[in-house]
Amino acid sequence: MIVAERKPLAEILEMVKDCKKILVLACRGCVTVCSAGGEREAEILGSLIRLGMKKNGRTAEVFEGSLVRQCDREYVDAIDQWKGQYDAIVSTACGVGVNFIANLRPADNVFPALNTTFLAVRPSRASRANSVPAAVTVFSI
Amino acid sequence: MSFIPDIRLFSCHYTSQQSCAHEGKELQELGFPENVRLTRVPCTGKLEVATLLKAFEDGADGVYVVGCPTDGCHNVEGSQRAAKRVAAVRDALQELDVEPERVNMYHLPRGLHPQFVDAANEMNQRIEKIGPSPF
Repeated sequence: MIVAERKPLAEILEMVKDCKKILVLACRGCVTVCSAGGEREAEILGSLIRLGMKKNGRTAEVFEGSLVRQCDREYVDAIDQWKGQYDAIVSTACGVGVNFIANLRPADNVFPALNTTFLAVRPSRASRANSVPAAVTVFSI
Repeated sequence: MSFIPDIRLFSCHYTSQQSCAHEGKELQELGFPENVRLTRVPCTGKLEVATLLKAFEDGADGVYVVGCPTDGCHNVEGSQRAAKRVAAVRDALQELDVEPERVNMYHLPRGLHPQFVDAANEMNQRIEKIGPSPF
C-alpha cells in the first residue's frame, strides 16, 4: 500500500515552466485509492497547471492520460499512444512509478507531482487472516 | 472604468426549480444580475473540482454554487459534498496566489425567494470589488 500527497503547486509549475506540451499521467493503482494521483486528481492538476501557466504569462498545451499502473512494465508501453504529443510527463504516480517511467523512457522529461508519504507491505496471507498488526512491515518516509 | 464580471453559477435542480420557472421572468423581475450565467445540475454533489476550475479556465471572474440546506438536501449529502469541493477550489486558488473569495458556496432552501437573488448580487458586488480574473 502506498499513500501520497500532491506537491505544492508552485513546485510543479517551476518544474514545467519551459514545457510547451505536457502530459499529466495518472496512475490507477494505489494513488487512486488514496485520492492523490488518480484520473480525477490528474484532471484537477492539469487544470491547475493550465491556470498557473496562464497566470504566469506562459502558454502550454496540457492534457491528461492514465495508466493501469506505472510500476508495472506491462502497462508502461501504453504511453506510446501519446508519442510525439508531449515534451514532458508530469506523473501523479508514487515515487516507484515516476522512477520506473523515467528509467524506461530515458529520452523523456519525467517530473514527479506527488510526495510519497507512506508505504507498507503485508508479508504473508496468514497475517491478513489473523489480522496481526505486528506482522505488517511499515516503512515511514 | 467599469467592469462587468463574468460570473458562473452552478445550482441544484431542486433549489432553482421555481426560480427558473416561466423562463426565469420572475427572477429577472426580482433583479437577478444579467451577467450571472446559470447552469443547473441534478445535484450539486455531482459537481467536480475540475468542473469549477474549468469555469475559471473558460474565463469566469467568479464562480459560485447554490445547493440545498445542509440538513435538507434532496440527495442527503449532495450539498455537503459540493461545499467540500468548493473549499478545495478555494485552497487551489490560494495556492495559485489568487483571491479565494472568487469561489463561494451557498445553501438555500427551495422556491423562488429573494435569497437566491441576494446571493447573485453579493457575488456580483464581491467580484466587482476584487476585479477581473488573473487567468
